[in-house]
Amino acid sequence: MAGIAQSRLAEERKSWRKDHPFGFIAKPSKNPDGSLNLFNWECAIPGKKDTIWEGGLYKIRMVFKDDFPSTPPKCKFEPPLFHPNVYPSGTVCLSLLDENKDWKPSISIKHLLVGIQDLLNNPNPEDPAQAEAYQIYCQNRTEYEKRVRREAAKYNAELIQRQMLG
Amino acid sequence: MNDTSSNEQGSSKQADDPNGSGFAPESSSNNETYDCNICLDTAKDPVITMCGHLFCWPCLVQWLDTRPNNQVCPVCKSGVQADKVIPLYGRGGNNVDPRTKVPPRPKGQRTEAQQGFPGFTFGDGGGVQFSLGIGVFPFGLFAQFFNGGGFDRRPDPPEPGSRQYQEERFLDNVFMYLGIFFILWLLLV
Repeated sequence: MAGIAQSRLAEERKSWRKDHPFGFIAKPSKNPDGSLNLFNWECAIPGKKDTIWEGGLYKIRMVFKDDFPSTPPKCKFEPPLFHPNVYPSGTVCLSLLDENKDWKPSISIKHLLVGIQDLLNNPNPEDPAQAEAYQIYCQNRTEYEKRVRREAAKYNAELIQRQMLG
Repeated sequence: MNDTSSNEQGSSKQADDPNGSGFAPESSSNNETYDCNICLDTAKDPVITMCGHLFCWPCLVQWLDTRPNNQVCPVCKSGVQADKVIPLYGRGGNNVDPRTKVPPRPKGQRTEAQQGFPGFTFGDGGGVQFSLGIGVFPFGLFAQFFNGGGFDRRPDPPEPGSRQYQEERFLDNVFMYLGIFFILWLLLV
């Protein structure tokens, strides 16, 4: 039943516009004809203050299926992010986003984005998704931090914000 | 339809607070108290789970249908059964019968208020149970006696002539006489 997904996503948008965590961006993408596609959101997650991720704003796309919220959305960093729990494709590996693990329909887009922000600085070495970031994270922590800081500089918050919000 | 960029970015709490009272988060959370936890809108045909979470009945049914083997609350993941949820009937609900929708919302579970049962005393109940125990007991022995060796799980019989063999022979006899005694006793009484 796409009806529930449609109305739930409309509610999500309403509640996001009413109030959302500072620095985050989340908006449904636009169809070529200018109408909104509620099943495909363009979001951005700021790096947490006082972490190596600070200063960056990381673009992430959320794709919802017709049976949302029974199933979680697919969350994909665009472009793919240097992080042990992000697949080379950019898809995020997080128990919160796994239908058979911690996903539940009461989790909102707001919760998800904050959850992913938390994952940035708390990678889960039990569940690696890309070899590069995982190996550097395990073998050479200073090199890892250097690489992350480089990412943060590349995706400078002001730059991305201007890009996304026009 | 287009988003105004200022609303999509940064904290827009103050700008959206219609009363300008600064109490926006509190008042909005009050309104959300009766929102369905799945569609996030005010619950329609509301039902509440045994763990206390509110949903639209159609939303909850859809969630339960997607996972017939793992029926859990969409909020707290405690077990949920469709026939154990309680419908909420507010005042001034619409006159449409919710049961016309498929699948029907479960009915409320009415139980009569307990007034106490003067005729039901402990002695009565105890007597019934006691005689039942006596009645079943001999058959238990009976079964043991006649089924001897019939179960696959039993260990192999001990070798003839060993001590265990003699003991078992003795016990067999004891139980046989006990059984015969009980049958005779039952017939005579």
